[in-house]
Amino acid sequence: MRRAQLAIEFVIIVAMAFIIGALFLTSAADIFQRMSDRQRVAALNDVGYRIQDEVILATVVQDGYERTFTVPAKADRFTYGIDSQATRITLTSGTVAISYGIPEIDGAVAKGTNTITKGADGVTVT
Amino acid sequence: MSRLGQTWAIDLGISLVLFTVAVLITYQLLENTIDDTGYEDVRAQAIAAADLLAGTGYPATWTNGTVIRAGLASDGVLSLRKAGELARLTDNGLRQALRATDRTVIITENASGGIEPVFGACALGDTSITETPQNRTLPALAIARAPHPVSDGVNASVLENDTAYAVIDDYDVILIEGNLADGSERTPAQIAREFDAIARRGVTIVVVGDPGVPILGIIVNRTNATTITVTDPELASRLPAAVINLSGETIPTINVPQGADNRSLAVTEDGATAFATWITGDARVHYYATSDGAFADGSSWLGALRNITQDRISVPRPACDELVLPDAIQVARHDRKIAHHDKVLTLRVIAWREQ
Repeated sequence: MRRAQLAIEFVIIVAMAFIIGALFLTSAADIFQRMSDRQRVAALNDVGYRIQDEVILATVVQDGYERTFTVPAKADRFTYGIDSQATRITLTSGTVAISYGIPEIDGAVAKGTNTITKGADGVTVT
Repeated sequence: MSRLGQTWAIDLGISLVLFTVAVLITYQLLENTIDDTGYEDVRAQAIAAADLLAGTGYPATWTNGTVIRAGLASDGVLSLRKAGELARLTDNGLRQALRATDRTVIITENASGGIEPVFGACALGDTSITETPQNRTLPALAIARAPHPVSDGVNASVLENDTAYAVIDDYDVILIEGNLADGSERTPAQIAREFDAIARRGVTIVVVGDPGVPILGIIVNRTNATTITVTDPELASRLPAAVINLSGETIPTINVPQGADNRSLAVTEDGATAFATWITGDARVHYYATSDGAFADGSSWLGALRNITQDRISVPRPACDELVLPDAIQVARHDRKIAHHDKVLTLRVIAWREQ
């Protein structure tokens, strides 16, 4: 009887410890997920705003301007996709998709090295 | 229960409590560490947004429909036009235009620390601040030549000669009524330069009739008209009818000038533009070919035009209660200064992340 009682108490307490541990792990995972999402958004914003600034800069300078800039293969540690339209760039990573308005461009911004030029016809990206 | 059994239970109970405490402490440490890194994010957003607001934005003549990067300055001073456009953005649009991801609120303060609601609201963004609606009269100047029926019916200082150009910088609304070349010692080119300069400050300009000189992109055509049909739904909604009847006269129609957000508001029966609006420099210009005419119900277009013009002069300026932010784990603010007439206003951006 004594052993049986001890065994039950042990099992109950260990079970409670497991439950507490599981709750902790769930909450911690949630915190890390939230942090990861924020870092993902911040990383995409870093890339998106850098592209936006490059295009804006090209529109305000004089004709003949040419500059190369690099769009990184990864946004910080996150893989991402880039969809470049004439007046909008959309970056997607995981479940996050963020659009950035840009002045009208000819061509498309892509990962890697891009050359941006300003001429009489406007801004071109190759 | 035996003594051995009791000892076991106490030992296990104490160990469970210690385990729970250790878990809670670890959780708290984890959360605090993440919160600390979050503060830097929020602070960076407040700084970036305030810096953007103190600039001109992009495009330089941005509207709520074309904004890529918001900025309130024009020609180095506060543009009330841009402040009005900023107020028309949705909360989400505002965050995008200011490059913020967390919740953001913008206020402007005067030198004595009170909220100066240049946006027509006490604050913009993610906030609820108690406002008591009231209006203020913007400084308005009418540069007019007699007779000046519209200028006489609104709250504007009327000046009929060139002295107007010496004080024009003190005003936020400029009303032009009559031929500016009449009685002026300035050449048309000089007058045009005066208006180019004032237009860069983001003022509102209302032109009634042919200004007599090519200013602000206005090139006048002469058109015989018996009716003017208002095609702009917003303007039409403020009138008793969409059609203004004229007594078969020649009116100064225009080609809608180049510029941001340029559009025809009303046309004659021949399709010539009688009313139009556009942005030039950074000023919003409203052009009305005539103040003559009447609606079918007998009411005059002049009365309606006076009301429309007065509404551009008398704008919302609510009385503001103190800004109260919600319970937040990180709050950061950043201030930048911007000039408006003889005052310096503080542009304050507050970014926060909620619990």
